Amino acid sequence: MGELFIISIIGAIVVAPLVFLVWTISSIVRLNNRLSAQEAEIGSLQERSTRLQSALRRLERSGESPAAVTHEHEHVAVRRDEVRERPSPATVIDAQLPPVPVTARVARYDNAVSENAPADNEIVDSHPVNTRFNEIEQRSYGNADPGQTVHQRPLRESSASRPDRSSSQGSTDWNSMDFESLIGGNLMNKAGAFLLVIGLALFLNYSFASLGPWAKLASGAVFSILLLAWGVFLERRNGGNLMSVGLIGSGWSCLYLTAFSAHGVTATRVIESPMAGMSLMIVVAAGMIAHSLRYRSEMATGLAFIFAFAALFVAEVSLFSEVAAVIMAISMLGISWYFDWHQLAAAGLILTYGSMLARLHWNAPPARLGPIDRIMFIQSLLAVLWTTYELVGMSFMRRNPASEEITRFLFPMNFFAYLVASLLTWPMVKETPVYYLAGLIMAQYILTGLARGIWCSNPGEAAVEKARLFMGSCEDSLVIASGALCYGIWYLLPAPVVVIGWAVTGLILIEIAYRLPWQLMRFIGHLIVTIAFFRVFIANLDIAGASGGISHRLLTVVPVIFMMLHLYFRTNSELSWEASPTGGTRQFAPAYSYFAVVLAGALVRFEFGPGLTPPVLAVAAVIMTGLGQKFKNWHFRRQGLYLALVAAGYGIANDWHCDSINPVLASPWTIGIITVACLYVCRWLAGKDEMPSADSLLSGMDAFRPHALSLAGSIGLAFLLYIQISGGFLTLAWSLLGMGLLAAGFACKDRLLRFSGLGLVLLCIVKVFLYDARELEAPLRILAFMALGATMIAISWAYTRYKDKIEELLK
Amino acid sequence: MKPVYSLIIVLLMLVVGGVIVMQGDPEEKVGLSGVMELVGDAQRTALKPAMMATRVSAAEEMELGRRLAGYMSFGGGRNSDSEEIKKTEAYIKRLGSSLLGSLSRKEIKYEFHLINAEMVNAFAMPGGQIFVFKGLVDFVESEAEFASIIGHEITHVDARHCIESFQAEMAAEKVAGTILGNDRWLAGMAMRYASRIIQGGYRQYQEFEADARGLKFSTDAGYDPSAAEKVMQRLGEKYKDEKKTKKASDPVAELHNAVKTAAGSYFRSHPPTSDRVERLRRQASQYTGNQKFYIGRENLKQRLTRKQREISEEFTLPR
Repeated sequence: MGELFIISIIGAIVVAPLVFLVWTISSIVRLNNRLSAQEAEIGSLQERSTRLQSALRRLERSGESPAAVTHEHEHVAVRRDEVRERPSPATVIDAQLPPVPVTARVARYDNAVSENAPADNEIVDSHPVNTRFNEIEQRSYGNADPGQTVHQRPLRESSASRPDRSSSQGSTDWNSMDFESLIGGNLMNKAGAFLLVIGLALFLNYSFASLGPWAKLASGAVFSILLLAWGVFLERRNGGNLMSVGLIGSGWSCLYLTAFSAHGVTATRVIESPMAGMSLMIVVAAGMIAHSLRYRSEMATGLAFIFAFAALFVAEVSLFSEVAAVIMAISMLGISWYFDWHQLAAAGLILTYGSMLARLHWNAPPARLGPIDRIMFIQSLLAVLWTTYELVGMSFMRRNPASEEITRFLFPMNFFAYLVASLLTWPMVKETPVYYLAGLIMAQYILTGLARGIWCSNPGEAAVEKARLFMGSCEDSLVIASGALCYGIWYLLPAPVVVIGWAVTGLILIEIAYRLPWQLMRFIGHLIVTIAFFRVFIANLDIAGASGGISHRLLTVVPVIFMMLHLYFRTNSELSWEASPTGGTRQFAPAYSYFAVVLAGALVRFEFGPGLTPPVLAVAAVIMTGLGQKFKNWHFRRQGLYLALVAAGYGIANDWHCDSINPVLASPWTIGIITVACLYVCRWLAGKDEMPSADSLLSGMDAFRPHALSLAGSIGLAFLLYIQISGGFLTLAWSLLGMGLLAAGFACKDRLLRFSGLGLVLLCIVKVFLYDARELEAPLRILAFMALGATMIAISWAYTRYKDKIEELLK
Repeated sequence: MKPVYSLIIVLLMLVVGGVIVMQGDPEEKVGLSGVMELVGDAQRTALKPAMMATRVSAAEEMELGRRLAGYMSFGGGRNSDSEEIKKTEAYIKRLGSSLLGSLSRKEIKYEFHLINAEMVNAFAMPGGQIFVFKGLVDFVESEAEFASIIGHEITHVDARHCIESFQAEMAAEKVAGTILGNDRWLAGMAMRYASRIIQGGYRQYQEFEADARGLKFSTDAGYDPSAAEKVMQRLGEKYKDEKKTKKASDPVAELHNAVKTAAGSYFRSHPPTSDRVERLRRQASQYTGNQKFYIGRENLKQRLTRKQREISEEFTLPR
């Protein structure tokens, strides 16, 4: 209980200034609104007076009796004067003094205006003068539907017709009076009410050490009823000003706290049965709320609820108090739904989940319950809250489908609050299977998604909107359900199979979203598939195990590669984001083709081992280059180039070595020659391509594709000779290779091939003088020099002998 | 093909693949070891030109190896009066020499040494200097197991793993010698640390490569291919280098764990034993047929190599 006392004191110290500040701001806003409302009403009445005069003239001209209109015109004029002479909002407080009857009536009316702006309009519209005026106006303009005129709202005055506030009588003292009465009357009143509640809480819990529980409760009840009675008395006498509203609010809050204490607070417990205690609270809460509803003020009702929540907040956490909080939240939502008070619903959501979370984590959860029961209890409460907010959100949406403001706020807030509260609750018991929660959330959102789809009939919204996020549609609910499903898959399936589960989920989401079309779901599907792609690298590549002789790596990664290819062709057949009215995702297509290639490359590396990777990748490069030509697809062609370069680099890094037990495969000659041959095949295929227009960097680079392949092949071949042939024979081998490349360069009209050959011969010259001359033994040194000399003479002879043909080839 | 058909085929492939894997008790291994291996490959490929440019000749390498071996102050067989130690060292030399049949760099002359210490280990130095602790000889259960370990160390020399860690340092000292004079060791030391950081990415790859080629050396010499896997498993049990990690609470925590362990494993020279055992098992499973392999339990006890005394009961078919 000591903690409760400290919390109460801290709460009073911290919360009171905050409340004071909030009320200050809200009061200033309200004062401004009231002034605007007054000005608008005056303007409206002036306008109507003018129009009535013109209607009168028309009626006179048409020969009808103008008597009724004249009479009503007089009413309008009187009404306009009344409003003009109405005291400023600040002076309403002074209406507690014996006022003249007209002022009292205006004050009551003014209170309604200030508390609820729409009520102001309703009063104006339903005023007999206005109704009659509308009828006359309709008749004179020939409108045959009088029903419409009843609901027609008055026109807001233009700024030009708005009366000059500075020129109005008494405006000099208004500002100072207003501020003074704001502080002294309005804010003091509310702060006082709040402090009264805190004081009563402290009073009940600590100050009455000598009194028995009944006495404590009786004193609390008497005090509450006194406050209430005083407030009601003032209201009846003065017509409902802020003082009386504050007293009534305080009285109800104190009464609610007293009812709560009858069972919920140990020191004052007189009711042992939780059901009886809860029933008493429900009765008091219902009375409080019913009374606040009399004013039809969203703010007054909201304040009543805040006080009620505050009373619960200072109490110790128990099953009873939590149920009371849920009941309170449900009643609050019911009211907000009935009166279409969106702000109250949104505030209620924050208030309920916030207080529940704070209470559960600042105070101990119900101690009498066992671990599992505790989770079940709290989760049940959260589920009830969640359901209520979902229902209210849906009904708001159904009532006003076009609204995307506060009603749509409820959906994401309800989801996040419910998720956070649940995630904080479940780890209270160690080893709790969290996937149960994921399953629960999935089931909840599938149900609510279906309900939203059927009831709110908004699945087609996405068809006209490219980007919609979390607006509370059927699609949004199903997206959340699929998120929960993904978590469940991750938790339940073995690590290598998670990718499969996610891939299936993503694929199905994408397919559904294509058909409906749902943009958010489509993006979420693509996101899940992309995450699955990345997960392959942490859970599927470097694993052991096999089933039926096929490795688990192969069994899980190959279907994912095929899925990526399917998605490539699927997205590639779509319109682009700009061209599609529903936002196409054609831009994703290249990414999927690269995902497939990257996964295939990584799979080859881990499945075949480092030794066999270069030839397999080189063969894949030939296939991709061929596919690129067949489908005229530059992405495939580029992928062929990248695979070929990786194959060459990898082979060189491994010294073309392979650890296979097969002696043929284990030979660097086999690995090197297969890889290099594939590179030259790619080069040959690339040479047949029409050069792309160099309109981008990538397209510009495409022009160098054949040269890059040719160079990589030549380097790979030269390196293979370097690895396999040593000493003086290397010079001979390189010289011959240089000649071969040169000849091939002429034959294929490939300048880079020719340069490669010449470069290799030049390298031989350098090698002969820098290495062979120093390091080799005499016979090998002689061989190196002679081989190189002979090669150069042969090249020179060929140039001379076939000069004409060479020149022809070079053309 | 219509998208709906390809969708059905892909879904079927995914589901069938997943179901088959679930029937086979899949390994629950989540981490960035695969990614680190790919990164190591990329680093190795990128550093290849530098390694080629700074290569030293076999003579230089062997000279370096002999110099480094001279610094070793372990009590070896040649300095011991014990007959057993001398016999063991001679046994190691004979066994090591019998494994050199399929070397890539035949110009390297290998020297095998015994260190009279109980540590269960062996290591290699540039230029073919192989050191084996006596504790390891006592630990292995057959000549085939011992051969696979010596083959592993030979690979570190043959595949230039040892000399590559010195190449950058030597090159830096050569280049800086003209500028720094006697202080060129500063440049060498700086380059040593830099190269350790850079080469750290593929040290584990080098261990896998040494395991694979070491197994090949021993099987080429006729020894049982499953011996390497067995001795590695026992080494893993002896040192228990792996901690069993608990399943993370959510996918984000799982990724966080993976990143955390990957950062630590970058500088870890040896891969987890379970991975090595798995790869050795996979490689050994390729040996099928009627060719018999030698185990040599008795040879190890008697410190007589297979070439000295071949026992017919020691032959076995591959598993």
